[in-house]
Amino acid sequence: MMDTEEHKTPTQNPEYRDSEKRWGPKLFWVMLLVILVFFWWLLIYSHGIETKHG
Amino acid sequence: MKESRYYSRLIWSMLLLITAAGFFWSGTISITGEWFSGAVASVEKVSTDTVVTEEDAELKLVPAPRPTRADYPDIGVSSRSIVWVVAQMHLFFGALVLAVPLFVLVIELLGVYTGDSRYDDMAHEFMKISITAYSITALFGGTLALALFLLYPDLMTYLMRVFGAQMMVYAILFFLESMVLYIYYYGWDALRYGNAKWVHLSLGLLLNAVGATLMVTANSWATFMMAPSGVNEVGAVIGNIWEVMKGPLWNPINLHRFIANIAFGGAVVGAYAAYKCLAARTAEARAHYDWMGYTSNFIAILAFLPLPFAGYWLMAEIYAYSQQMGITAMGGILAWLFIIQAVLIGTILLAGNYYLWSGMSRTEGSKRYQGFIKYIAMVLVICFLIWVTPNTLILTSGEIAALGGSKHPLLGALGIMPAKNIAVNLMLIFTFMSFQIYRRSDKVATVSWEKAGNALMVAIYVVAIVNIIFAGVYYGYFTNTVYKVGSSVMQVVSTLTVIISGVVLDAFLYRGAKTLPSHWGQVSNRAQYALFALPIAFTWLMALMGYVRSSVRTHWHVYTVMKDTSPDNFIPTIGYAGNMMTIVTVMFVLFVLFIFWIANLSGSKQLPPYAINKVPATERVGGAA
Repeated sequence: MMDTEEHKTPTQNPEYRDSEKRWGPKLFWVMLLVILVFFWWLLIYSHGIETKHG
Repeated sequence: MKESRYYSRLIWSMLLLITAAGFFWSGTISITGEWFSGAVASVEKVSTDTVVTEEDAELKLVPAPRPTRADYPDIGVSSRSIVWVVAQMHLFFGALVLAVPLFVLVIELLGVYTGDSRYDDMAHEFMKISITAYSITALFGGTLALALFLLYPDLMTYLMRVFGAQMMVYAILFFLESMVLYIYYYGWDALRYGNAKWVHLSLGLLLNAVGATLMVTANSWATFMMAPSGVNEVGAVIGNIWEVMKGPLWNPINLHRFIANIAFGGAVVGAYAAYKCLAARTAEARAHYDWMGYTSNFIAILAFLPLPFAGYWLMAEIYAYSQQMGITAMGGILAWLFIIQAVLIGTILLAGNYYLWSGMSRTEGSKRYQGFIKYIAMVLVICFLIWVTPNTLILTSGEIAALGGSKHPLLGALGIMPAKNIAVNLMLIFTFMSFQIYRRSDKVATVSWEKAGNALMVAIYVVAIVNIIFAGVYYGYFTNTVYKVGSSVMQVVSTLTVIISGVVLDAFLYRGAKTLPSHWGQVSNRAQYALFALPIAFTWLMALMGYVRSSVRTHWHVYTVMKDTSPDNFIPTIGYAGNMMTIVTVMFVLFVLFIFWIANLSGSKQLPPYAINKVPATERVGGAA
């Protein structure tokens, strides 16, 4: 399977890349940030308790 | 304009959903009042109620049940065996459906950034496997819940009391997971370009977040049973839900399962790709599935490399929590299972490496590196043999007399952890080396500092290998136990240094490199069979280590708090346990074959009877790949 132009997708077409209405990536990265904060809160934040290791 | 309003509404709805879920979770969990039923509620209430004394509060604490043998329903078949099989099947499929969307999201994102639609198609095809597996996961989950409530009613009553409303959060998350999964899969083509694609990617994020939350929630039940927290010595709940959930083993298990799931998921979808590759009738289809198989193997082995370190952390926490439990696992009745573990991990690494070496035939540039393969194979085999050398042998009295003791005079030294730590770390380093030469085989560096970069890489390998062997031999055999345990950290750091610096160095070294032609599909069929070996070994390994993890509780349902008084309250013989693990492994493989068949069936289309004679035989139903 060689890389050919037929495999190229318009996902990254210049019209979209330069568009002012390009809010999709912001949504994605903000959501990633929100999820990372959520997991920090769920798994790492102490919630006022002390885990006894041994 | 209309479209933008629609998407903005969608975003706000999603954010609202996340916020609501967060509030619901926090409200449910952090408050210790009405939602969280049982003893903890009573404790919190009395602590703020000045009328009730501390003695009254003590009286309100409800200890863990103490069932007698008669309290366990007898349905004529071993209850433990039923739960064993169903729970393991649920865990296998759960691992698969939680892991696949993780790397699917990464592949989809790669498709967006490279603009190559093949990534997108491959990610979509991976999800097709996950979607069938999801229904099976739910079916086994429901069966498991019924089996547990039927066969272990007192234990389940107790766990319900301890975890309270958290169980309902789990159920709600399950609904959410289903909804997002179906939107993510079925909305793939509807949300393909522009902002819509990013909405789809965000849905993928949400799917993974819900899936991971489901996993860590269920993990808290297992870790509570191993190392209960938030309860007193008789099992009465004295803390809030965070104290119950955040036991010492929770995060080590979370990390270990998270990584292991990715490796396992990668291996299973790799088998699917191998199956399709072998069945392909056209060169194009074979090339596509060869590439898919390579990607799957890459995911499986890359996730597998840091897994032993997560395992070390888990075992260290088990030892810290209870030395007795640690010794039961690694020095007592379950210790021999770690030898079987070594055999299975060795199989995984040998199969993974073999696949990479075979795959080098795809590129002409690989000739430069083929000379290394025999040395890598030699190191892997020697390390594998060291790893499987047992510390103690099962011998007759005559054999012990002939040997002069229960340990072999020469090979006995290889039976203890320092030797095995050296072997494991070297196997990981040399597996990474296989990866590195595979990745380099279709490239020619063009940077001026190529020689210096390669010299630096060789130096890093040499220093790391020397450090691993020195730390293992010197601290393992010539100092006391404290240094012996501490030296394993040095070894882990050495291995990670090689992996991280190798990835970083190659990224710079091959920037703007000349790419040599690569011919996908030009690989031996034997390489595809290696992809079948991987998921079987992974499944067996999960069954084995899952059994060890659960068995360290010995005769306790909840360690030190609620005794198991059922007829199965003993650790079975290794032979019996081995048979059970093999049964679940075979069952899983059969179910996976069913999933592959279903996935294939959805792509087949029967031709109308009047057209059948006009179509070549290879393009009729089942004929086209």
